[in-house]
Amino acid sequence: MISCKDISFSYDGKVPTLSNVTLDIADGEFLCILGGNGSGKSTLAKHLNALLVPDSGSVEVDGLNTSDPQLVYDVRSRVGMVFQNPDDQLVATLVENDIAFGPENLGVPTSELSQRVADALASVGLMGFEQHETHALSGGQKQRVAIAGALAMHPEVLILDEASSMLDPRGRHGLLKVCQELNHAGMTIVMITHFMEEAALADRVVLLDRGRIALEGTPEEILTRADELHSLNLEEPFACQLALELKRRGLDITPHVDEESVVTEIRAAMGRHIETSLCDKTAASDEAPQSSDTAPLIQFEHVYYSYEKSTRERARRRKKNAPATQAAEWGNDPNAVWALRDISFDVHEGEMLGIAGHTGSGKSTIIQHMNGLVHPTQGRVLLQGASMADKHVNETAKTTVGMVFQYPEHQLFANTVFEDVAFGPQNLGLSANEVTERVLEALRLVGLDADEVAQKSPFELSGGQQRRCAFAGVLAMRPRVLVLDEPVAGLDPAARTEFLQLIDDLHARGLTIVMVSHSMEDIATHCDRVLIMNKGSIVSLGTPREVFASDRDLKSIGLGLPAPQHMARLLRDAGIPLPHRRLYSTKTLAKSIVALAAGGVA
Amino acid sequence: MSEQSTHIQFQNTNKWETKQLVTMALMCAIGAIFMYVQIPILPSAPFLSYDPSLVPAMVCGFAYGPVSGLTVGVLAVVIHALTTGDWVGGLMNIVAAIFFILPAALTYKKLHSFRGAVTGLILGIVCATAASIVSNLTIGVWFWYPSMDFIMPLIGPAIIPFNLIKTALNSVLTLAVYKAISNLITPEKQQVKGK
Amino acid sequence: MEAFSFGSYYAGRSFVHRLDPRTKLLAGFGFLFIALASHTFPALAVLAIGIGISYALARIPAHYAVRSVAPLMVLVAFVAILTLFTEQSGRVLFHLGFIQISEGSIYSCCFIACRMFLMMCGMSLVTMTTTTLDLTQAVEKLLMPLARVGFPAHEIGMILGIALRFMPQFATELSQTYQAQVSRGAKVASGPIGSLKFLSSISIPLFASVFRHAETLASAMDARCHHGEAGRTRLHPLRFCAHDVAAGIFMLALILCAAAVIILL
Ligand SMILES: Nc1ncnc2c1ncn2[C@@H]1O[C@H](COP(=O)(O)OP(=O)(O)OP(=O)(O)O)[C@@H](O)[C@H]1O
Ligand SMILES: Nc1ncnc2c1ncn2[C@@H]1O[C@H](COP(=O)(O)OP(=O)(O)OP(=O)(O)O)[C@@H](O)[C@H]1O
Ligand SMILES: [Mg+2]
Ligand SMILES: [Mg+2]
Repeated sequence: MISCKDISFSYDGKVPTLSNVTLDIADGEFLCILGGNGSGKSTLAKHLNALLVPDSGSVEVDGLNTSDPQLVYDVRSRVGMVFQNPDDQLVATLVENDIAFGPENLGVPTSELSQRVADALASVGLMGFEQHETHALSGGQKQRVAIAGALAMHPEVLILDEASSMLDPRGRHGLLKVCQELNHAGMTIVMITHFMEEAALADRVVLLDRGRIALEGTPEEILTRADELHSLNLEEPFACQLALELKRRGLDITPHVDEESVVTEIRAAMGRHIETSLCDKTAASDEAPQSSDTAPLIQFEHVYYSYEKSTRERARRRKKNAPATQAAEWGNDPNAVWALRDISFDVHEGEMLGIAGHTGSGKSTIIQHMNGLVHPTQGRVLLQGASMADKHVNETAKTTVGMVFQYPEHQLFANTVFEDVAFGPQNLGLSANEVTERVLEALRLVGLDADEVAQKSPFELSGGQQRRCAFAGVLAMRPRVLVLDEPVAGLDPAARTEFLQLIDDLHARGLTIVMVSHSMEDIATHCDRVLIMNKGSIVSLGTPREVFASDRDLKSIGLGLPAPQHMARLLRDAGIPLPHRRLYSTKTLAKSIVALAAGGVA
Repeated sequence: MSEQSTHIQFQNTNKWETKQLVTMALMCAIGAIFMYVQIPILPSAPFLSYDPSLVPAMVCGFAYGPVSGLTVGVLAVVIHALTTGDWVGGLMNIVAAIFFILPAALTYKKLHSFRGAVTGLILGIVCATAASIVSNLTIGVWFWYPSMDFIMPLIGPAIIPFNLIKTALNSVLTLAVYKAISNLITPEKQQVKGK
Repeated sequence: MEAFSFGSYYAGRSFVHRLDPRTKLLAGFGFLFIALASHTFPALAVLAIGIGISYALARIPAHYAVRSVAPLMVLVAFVAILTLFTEQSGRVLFHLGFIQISEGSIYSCCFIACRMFLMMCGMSLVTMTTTTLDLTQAVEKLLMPLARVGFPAHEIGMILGIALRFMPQFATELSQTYQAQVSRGAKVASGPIGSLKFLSSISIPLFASVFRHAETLASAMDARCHHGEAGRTRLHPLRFCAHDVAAGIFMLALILCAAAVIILL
């Protein structure tokens, strides 16, 4: 279908972005391209679509050479492409206009257009969305519309360039399902991703490293080579992590990339022990219950919040939407009256609180209450015992509670990194000396070298550095509480680990941390307490063990369990007597399994 | 999937490169949004309020030349007029946009430096203020005001100072924005440092 | 999410709603110019009847119509009040210090207020019955003849379309940046330098975001064969139909009536 012969490409004529890449993609194949940030994945993808042409070598799609200007539109109509950010690839206000954009450009007759739109929408599972406005869709829906827009051109190949990386788990799952269905229907899929669980589903995996193909093979071959993956800023899928950990501990298991085969392997490896040790003792908890007797720093008392300001409007809506509220399948009903309902909890001094919940469940709304950006419609929020409704307290809240919003790098604005970080302290009216001192301290805290970056424009930094710079801007306010809204969204695995480490360090220095995250693993491993939200109310609040280890089904509200927890459940279902009511990490889970296999009790 | 057998041949008839076209469109969107920002600056004429809506057009004019800047400025006004229904006000805003952006962008095109930008903006301030007087006396009188005599006494105390302040604010903001983002406009390799 | 609804479109299926947007746009402009030419109350009365019929045909609830015209009324009120004090002729009815109201000023005040009110009703009827999307298409279509002489009509249509698509998104981004900067202690009012800094601290990120979006959006459009107007088809091409002819005749009749009244009286 597509064949790349020895292509090299450079953006500036000096540093090669791709060098001597040779790659054949077969008809109907599901290919996955992996690689760390900046390894040239997107550049390669753009070559497959004639958006870029190689400096040397050739790319042929269906036998058409992409560097022939006569054939550009032929190539592009055969190869559809979906990009990373759901927000910036839809061109029209209405879904149907957006999907029709490609076929319109191809000159498809008007009589056929609406059929194409309907078909494309049906194949991504969005029947009847023609008249919806694109900006009002959820991220996952937007990506599906983008796929439909490519499908409406009747392409033979679909390229997804990290299309799922900005979605929540549910959206990601849905998107992947669509891709698999398309693949089964005969479409060739080329997927670029940072999520190894997705790569595990491909027929073939290609690993890029600095513009070269480093490894190539089936997921089973490639994704189980932990050391090589780590050296390329990637990590192996969880199932494989566990298998490798077990192997290290002496259990004879062949690593696999999917959970089922690993479960089978484990069962096989310890088959004979299961009969002997069928005594499923519900072991006592292995961690001491958290004592939370430190002073509450922020208190929520029966907080209700509505984005609708006037009571009359609220009442009108309530009347109109009373039955519809029930109907919302998941997420808040967009017309629901309350974004938050009866929220009461405390944030304690020095703790790390994780907040999870599906999209639109009110996480961002909650944290905006914490520094007085918004005020509850009913109820109160107290900061150190004083109500934030008070103007004075509200002022203090701005300095006591530091807010890092989602994609904080999007707020950088000043000419130099120094000025940007200094913006907060200057607003506090501090002396020049103190401002400098704080800026340097903040830059050091986030691991940026002040001598190197302080005088650069923040827009010249790399993505990860920009985020650090934005962090520093908040830390320079010397907050006591740091509130983070999805701090690691959109980073590759290595950068995620680094950032979580940074947050842990800040926590260890005594900062109270509130972190919103979609990743249950991150919350389970890093946070002291977890708050789960659903439709604007609190579903559960407690230590990760209390929340995740209880058999309460988080799936019913659209959330998954942390991967080790999920695996433990699968193993239990497969008849392996792992104790209930325990919070597992990869290590402890492996330890328990090995102990069981050795004939002991986990 | 279906077979694409016929050969597709089109001419690219676009006047602008896709990326420039898209940037202009997004600037237009920002301009149209900024029109909803209303900051009253003169107590003597409360209906004259400041909005930074010409900044995107001016940034575009500096980045891509006068024609692009003008297109963005005019289209932002058109969008606003079409959404709110205030066509006559829109007409006056278009005149203001033309006379603010054109002199500045032309000067900057000739003299591609910080000094060129400042000179251009000052020229823009003068032209735009003059144009606003004329448009109040013509368009305003045709559509709104009962007669010339009505608007004459307002020129000195309201229209001139208001337009001066407004365009000056726009100019300073443009400089700040353009300086901050200028290395995003042209990719690193082509960029001429130190403007 | 009902993030931001721009404009004053009122969804409906009435006769006026179903007209071709070009017809409405042209009729709107036509109306503006007859209003401009009307210098007497009888002519205004003819226009008022015309507008009344159009509103009735559009079946827009009265309160909705009022709400959408209201913001424009500020200017009407302002001009009307100023007229009351500046335009003097005829018998003086009221005198207090430098304030003086005469018969002539009351007459001009009423006349100006009525005429401006009618104009604004006309313009806002068009925006209430047509989505901005359709209007931008109409603008593009009406400019098309100029494309022969090299005028970028199609590009302008594209720009308008994309701009409309991104307005709600930028509005959301604007409010997010605003919140972020406020969290860092930025204050709206703190002297001219301070407020300029505040303004730039929330607008520069927005401009940076333009360039971030433009990169991918351009690739996404190119990948979908964006190549200009030649050989392009439309999902919903604009077509004039019988309704539009009827509306055209109505408009013509209105113009003739108004002209007759202006000339005869
Ligand atoms: N338009 C451009 N101009 C100049 N250099 C570029 C451009 N786009 C990318 N590069 C450079 O080329 C290299 C490869 O970039 P590319 O976007 O292909 O990486 P990637 O593997 O897709 O990374 P990511 O995971 O961040 O998406 C990077 O070093 C990047 O800085
Ligand atoms: N500015 C706003 N105006 C009106 N409604 C809003 C606004 N912001 C959020 N909402 C609504 O409030 C509810 C909660 O939104 P919130 O942003 O707090 O969710 P979230 O849990 O942070 O979601 P996500 O994971 O997508 O960030 C949603 O139903 C949303 O539609
Ligand atoms: Mg990429
Ligand atoms: Mg959120």
